Amino acid sequence: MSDWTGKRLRVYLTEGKVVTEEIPQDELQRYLGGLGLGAYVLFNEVKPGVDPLGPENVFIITTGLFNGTCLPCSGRWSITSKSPQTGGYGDGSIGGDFGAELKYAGIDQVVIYGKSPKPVYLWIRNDTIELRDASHLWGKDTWETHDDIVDELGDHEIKTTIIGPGGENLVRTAVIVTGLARTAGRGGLGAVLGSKNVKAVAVRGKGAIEIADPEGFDQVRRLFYQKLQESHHAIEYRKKGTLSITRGSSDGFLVTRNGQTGYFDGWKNFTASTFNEEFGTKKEGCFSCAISCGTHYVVKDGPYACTGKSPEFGAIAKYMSAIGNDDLAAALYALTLCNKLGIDAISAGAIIGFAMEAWEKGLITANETDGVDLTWGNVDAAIEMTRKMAYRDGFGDILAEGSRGAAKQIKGSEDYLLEAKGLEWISTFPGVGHERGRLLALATSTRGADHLKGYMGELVGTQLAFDAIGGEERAAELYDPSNHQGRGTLLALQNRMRAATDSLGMCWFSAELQMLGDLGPDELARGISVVTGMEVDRDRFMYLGERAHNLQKAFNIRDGIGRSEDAVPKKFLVKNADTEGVPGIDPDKFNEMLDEYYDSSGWDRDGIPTLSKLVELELDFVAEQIITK
Amino acid sequence: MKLIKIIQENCTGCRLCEATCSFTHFRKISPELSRIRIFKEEEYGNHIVIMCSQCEEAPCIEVCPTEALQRNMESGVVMLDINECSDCGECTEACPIGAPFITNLTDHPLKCDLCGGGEPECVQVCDRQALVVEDTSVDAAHRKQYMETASEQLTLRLGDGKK
Repeated sequence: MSDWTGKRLRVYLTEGKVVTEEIPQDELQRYLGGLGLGAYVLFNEVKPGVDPLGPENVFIITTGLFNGTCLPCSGRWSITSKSPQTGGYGDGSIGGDFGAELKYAGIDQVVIYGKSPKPVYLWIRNDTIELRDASHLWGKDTWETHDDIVDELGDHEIKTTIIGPGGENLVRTAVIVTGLARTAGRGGLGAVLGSKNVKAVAVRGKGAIEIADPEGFDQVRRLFYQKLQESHHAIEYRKKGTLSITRGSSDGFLVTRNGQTGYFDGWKNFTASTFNEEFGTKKEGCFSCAISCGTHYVVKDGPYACTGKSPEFGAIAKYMSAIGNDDLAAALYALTLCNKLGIDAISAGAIIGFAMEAWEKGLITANETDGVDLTWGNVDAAIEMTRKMAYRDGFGDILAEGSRGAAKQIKGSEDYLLEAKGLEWISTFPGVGHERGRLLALATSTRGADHLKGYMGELVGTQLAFDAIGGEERAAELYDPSNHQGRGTLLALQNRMRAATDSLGMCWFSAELQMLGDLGPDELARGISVVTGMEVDRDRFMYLGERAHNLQKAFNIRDGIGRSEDAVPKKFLVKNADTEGVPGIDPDKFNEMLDEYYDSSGWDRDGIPTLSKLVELELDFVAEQIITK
Repeated sequence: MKLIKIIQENCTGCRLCEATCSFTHFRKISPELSRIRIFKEEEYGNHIVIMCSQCEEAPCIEVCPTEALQRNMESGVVMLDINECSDCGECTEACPIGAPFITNLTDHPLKCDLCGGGEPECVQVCDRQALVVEDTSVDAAHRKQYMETASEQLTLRLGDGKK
């Protein structure tokens, strides 16, 4: 008896067939769930060179190990596929209620193959699994689709995962949406479902989850809850959500006008307090959340009247500072629009920012943009372009290829790209201090310029960091912004922790900043032990995370995504950046950081995991495929 | 007497109460095994919290054919004796909010017993205080109001025959 249901669905769309199978215990124990189990199946099922939007790609849904339990903040589940945006490893961790519902239906993983001859949706009701016609849903937005599915199946408690017009139209930044506004997220995985003619997955589960050690579990759940009541980090997000990140301080923090600067005069217009005073209504949380960082919003009237929820900093900033817009109501409207259309608001806003810079430089004009005026700050144009992108209408068709894809069609615009591996940069600017260190994390992330694989600064001040870096005194050097040493080591450590945490379905906001009282590897390892009955300690936890991270890396290496793609956008490479106190990074320093990171990861200087590392991680089957020398 | 006060406006829809309730009583986890249910409304967050509010005049006691439902006079809690229960479902029908829940996973309805006294487990994990313990003399009016509101909300939601 354990929290694993041990069941996997294989959905063969081309044949219209669904097969249920037991997942081998050994597989569960080595990959846990979520990110880990998803990465393992992806590595095995998708051969190198496969077109992400072709029928040979697979789309995988995996529950986090802790999904559906009463461990607080354990509601996150994973999707995994080859990314249409980066052409490499793609995944997303997502909250809401869907993962828990899937567990209650008795399923740990769904692997979707092939391509359906006509639009379908997958309906999972406990043991009854059905591919249903979705022709009448095709073309509808994600909110309408959810309502229609609920009406059709006659159960309000059904949880859904849906693509919008963005996914249907194979927009390379398309997302999947659950609970109206929770998305996954980056890398365009919604387009993979679109390419397979899958509009949605609906699930209703009425079974129960078993716990291996109920008495031990009872202690662990209380410990988790207690720690999250006391964590300074959780307290902050509980009060303010991620808009608490918005700041306009002297360190030049906000990607402004496609990264022309880190200073945005209108920053006060999208702080948590401005948002809460003007538009915020009720707090909302994912399944089992003891933080509830999300907030519903209502823009009552005017041109931007809308409802929505979870206005995350990363997305809102893209429709504020990144395009030079001051009007929060308009940004909220754009966010709701993105969620309904099923495209990633972070990338969408970033791509429009990129197009605005191309406009400013005269590389595109009204002739190319169908008459839309892409002057900085023109938020109505941004909203219109968002719509055009989702429907691949006119100039929107070019932007729907992502900024890297669009740059190939906009002559001279490459210098203004703000991405890594083809994925648009997040909303924080690599100004100074840890933000500069973060360049390394974004450049090397397995899914592109995104902070969610590892992130600088979180570990600073923890025992884990001291151990990794050679003592507390050395760790203190990390506070020196001009110091580049140590950051690669910490990032390598962080990758492991993050991959393990994402396999459990634990929210980062509960396990991100241990120096502020969050849950750490010791607690999470104990959680694994009590729900599965498999003894896990901190070292084993980190080891399992390292395996999962190496699988992601190996997937990319196998597809030719190596050191040259672990790169910083051109505009952030600045000779002597740190000594002159300007934003960006010195190319030589960046290369030093990269070397240290590879060394600490057990990879060679091309970023390829070494044979000895892979053997140590019992990933021999990976070694066979990526080590050619 | 101290009972649970339900403040629906505070509910964030996290459903940690549901998972915790089932674990506390069954050592297994499932909303189907919970004595509290959250019906989520995703757009505005007007979630419906359904749990027994231990009514002063309890229709479930009146309709129970086997007298399996009895009020504990000391605690004020309406208790279900599962040995006497015939699982006929009359109590669920009689309750304005259907709070003793019928499920395939058990052979009797699920009815809140306040975890036998002290601070119930769901209250302990309700981060936003949608569930609090309060003296009944203070919140009698509120409880009545809650029953009326929740009943109306449920009718609206289930009016089209869905559940």
